[in-house]
Amino acid sequence: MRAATRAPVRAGSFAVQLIAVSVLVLPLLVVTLQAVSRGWFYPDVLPRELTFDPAGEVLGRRRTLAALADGLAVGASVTVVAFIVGWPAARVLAGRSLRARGLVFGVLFLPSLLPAVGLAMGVNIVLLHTPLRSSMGGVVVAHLVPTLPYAVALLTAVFVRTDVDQERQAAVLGASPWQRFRMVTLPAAAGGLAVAAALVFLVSWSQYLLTLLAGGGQVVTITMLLFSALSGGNPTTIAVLALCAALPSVGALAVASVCLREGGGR
Amino acid sequence: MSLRVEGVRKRFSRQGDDVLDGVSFTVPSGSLTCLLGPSGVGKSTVLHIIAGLTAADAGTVHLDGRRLDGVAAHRRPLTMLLQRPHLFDHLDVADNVAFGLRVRGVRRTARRAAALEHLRMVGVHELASRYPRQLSGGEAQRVALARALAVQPSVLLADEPFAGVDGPVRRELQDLVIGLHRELGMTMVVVTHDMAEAFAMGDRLAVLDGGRICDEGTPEELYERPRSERTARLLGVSNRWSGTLHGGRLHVGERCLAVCPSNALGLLEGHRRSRWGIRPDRVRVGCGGANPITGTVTALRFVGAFAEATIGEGAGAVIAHLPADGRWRVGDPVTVDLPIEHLIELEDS
Repeated sequence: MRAATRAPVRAGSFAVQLIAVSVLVLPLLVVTLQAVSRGWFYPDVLPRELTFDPAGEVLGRRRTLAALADGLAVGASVTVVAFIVGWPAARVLAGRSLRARGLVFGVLFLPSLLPAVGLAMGVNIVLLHTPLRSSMGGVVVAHLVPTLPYAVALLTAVFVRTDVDQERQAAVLGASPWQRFRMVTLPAAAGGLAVAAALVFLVSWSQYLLTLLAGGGQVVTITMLLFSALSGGNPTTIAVLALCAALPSVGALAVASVCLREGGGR
Repeated sequence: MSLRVEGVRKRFSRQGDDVLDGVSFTVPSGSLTCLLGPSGVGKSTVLHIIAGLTAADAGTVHLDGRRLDGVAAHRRPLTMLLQRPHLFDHLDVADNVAFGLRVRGVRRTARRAAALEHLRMVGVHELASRYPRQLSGGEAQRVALARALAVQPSVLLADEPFAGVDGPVRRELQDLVIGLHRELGMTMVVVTHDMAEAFAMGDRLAVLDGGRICDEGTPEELYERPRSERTARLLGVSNRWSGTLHGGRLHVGERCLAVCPSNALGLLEGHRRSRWGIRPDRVRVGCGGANPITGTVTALRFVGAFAEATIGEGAGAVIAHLPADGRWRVGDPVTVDLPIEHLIELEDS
């Protein structure tokens, strides 16, 4: 009887694993093979020659390295700024009712409802009137539009789960505000904060239109190189750039899973 | 160190009433004072104001004559046990206890030794290397107590510290705090809504109700002679009647009761409205006293050591503790006496 009820569960689990493999792993495998191959043409099932030379050549280009550095710098700056701005907002929201929080989140996420082109154009027009136009600072500011709502939402989720009374307890034990932050708040929320940082970084990392318009061609990221290669580059270059673009996502997923496991989901 | 709370007021919303409406009381140096009151009257708020976690709208807190208003919580020479232990999950038990010393810059070896010493004081030194998630409720509360004592505060505030534990563990923790208080001679303020806990632990009680301190005194004084109606109600004086004092006697409906002048709040001469009460455990079964009352048992509740009987009906009913020997039934006639030495006048609130 029990074995009979287990069979459909096993079948369902197998189906989910199969879908996960075909949707996530297979495309990544194909792109990886493409990145380390020379001359992989239809109707060959597998590449004729596996070599790291083309990948090394793409990665060795100054332009690629500069794009990687710019993308990392923008992503890191956006994460830091979004956390600095979002932290106090999230602390306040965490203490509010679910309804109040929903209302604020609704307003914060409103820009996400706009078509990406409209949003990017709007942000660009604003930036054109500032000294930040066509600069990395401008790109960071532009990226805050889509990332800040995520930062606030994720930080709020972290603080809702954080025991505020632990900070009060620390205060009456003699801890100054900075000591409370360093010794109590930060360790208690570390797992959630790492996940939030990883996700905010990813949202910034994957921006194309905003970077293109706000950066005015002066700030080039891997995502932009990838889009440019897609419109006429060779498949190996596209595959190498696609892997570069995907690498932080895999890293973020790894960070998130480790942090959630260690922090018990906090 | 003595603590003085003077005229503290607090309101949480603009439209709302004052939760605290001029709270004043004194905690003598070295005493264990219990702040007693029903749930929701602002006892915890008083403690949070003393600790500096909540700002009062008005009023002052003095510690040995030094005004504490405006002093940040972490700079006050006192500490507090909150309702739950609130141990820091990322630190082991010893580091939790050493936390207050760490923020004061005490070196690691010294604070570790102090932590172990305080854990030994509360009887859980063998848990030093465990993490909070591995502790029971009682163990966690002991660790929280050790953590509070480790900073050697001038005053220890405890906000219903045993609310999360019950039964024998609660009793053990109460005894532990009483023992530590005797040993250390530290000034302590313990908030509780449990009359038995307040009587068992406190050498002084302050009763908070209606936004004010209704009564202050030793447990024995307040048990025998509560001054206010609110205190009487909280401390179990369930027989309370309004009547008229006339000719030195109390007239309650058709009853005419003899009263003791020393138990009155004013003179017995003349004619005035007055409110009086008597504890049900002071009502004697049988006649022969100055105030015999005969009636029928209209309700009976077995409480364990005694049966709580309601004699008569309506506003004039008398509640008495009868022996729980199975002798009494609802509808039985009974005569009780209200001894004049236990019949007390109450301030009408």
